[in-house]
Amino acid sequence: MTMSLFGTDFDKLAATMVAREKSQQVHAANIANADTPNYKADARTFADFLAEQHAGGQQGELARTQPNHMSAVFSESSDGGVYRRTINSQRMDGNTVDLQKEMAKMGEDQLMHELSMRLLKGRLGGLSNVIKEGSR
Amino acid sequence: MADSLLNSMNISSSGMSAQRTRMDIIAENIANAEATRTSAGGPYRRRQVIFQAIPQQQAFSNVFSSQFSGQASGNQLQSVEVQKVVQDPTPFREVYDPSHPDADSRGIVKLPNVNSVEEMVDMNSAARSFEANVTTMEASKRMFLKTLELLK
Repeated sequence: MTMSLFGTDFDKLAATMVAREKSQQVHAANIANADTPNYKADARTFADFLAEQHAGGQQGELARTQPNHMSAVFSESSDGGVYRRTINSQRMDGNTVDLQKEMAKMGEDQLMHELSMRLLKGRLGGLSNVIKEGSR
Repeated sequence: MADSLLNSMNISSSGMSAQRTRMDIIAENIANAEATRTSAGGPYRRRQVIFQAIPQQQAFSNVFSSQFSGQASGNQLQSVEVQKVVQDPTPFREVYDPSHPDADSRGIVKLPNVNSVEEMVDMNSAARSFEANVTTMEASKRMFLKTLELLK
């Protein structure tokens, strides 16, 4: 069971960041292979990785009032999730990497990672405030 | 989880070194665009690189757990490497120049099958791809540094 000191939000933010980092890995692989003939771009997105994080754990369940709500269960699962590759090629060498798209998505991931980080930092700051004030 | 960011930096670096090898070959082609003699005999033949996607080397713990659970890890990330450097089989350029020392009896000189415009385009493409990899690596680095700042 998670410590109530940190709360479930903490786990959620951590899972989000793990998912952002994994998605960054996919962008790196796609961009590195942007000139490899017949390379099929890895189409896994942040949402896939987040769902993967959801699927792995058993704790911190949130109420789901709609069937399309995501369940808020997190843990550090291994890479066991979806695996998709873009098949339609626009190029003559059979490569399916869209460099501009990858760059744009990477920028988004980077910013959202930073946002999660700031939120997490705020939480930690709050906790450390509590600890410091209590010791006076 | 720093593992995944280090992994993406490794992938980016594989992309950078592949593009650099490509750039080396392009430089060689441009430098030898007029070379009519080689150690193998005959004019210089244009060379080009072949890129190949290879599964990124996994951390020991990942390999161990996938072996242990009996699941083949199908969702491998691919890094890139130069598989080999091949020669361009297209015919040599033929120029009529009887004064050239390597001209044949009809006065025709065989020059390398290097098209400098083609090489320039290729060079630009390699430079841009290299930059894309650098940007990716910078993004990973930034994410990593932000993580380190978390407890400041």
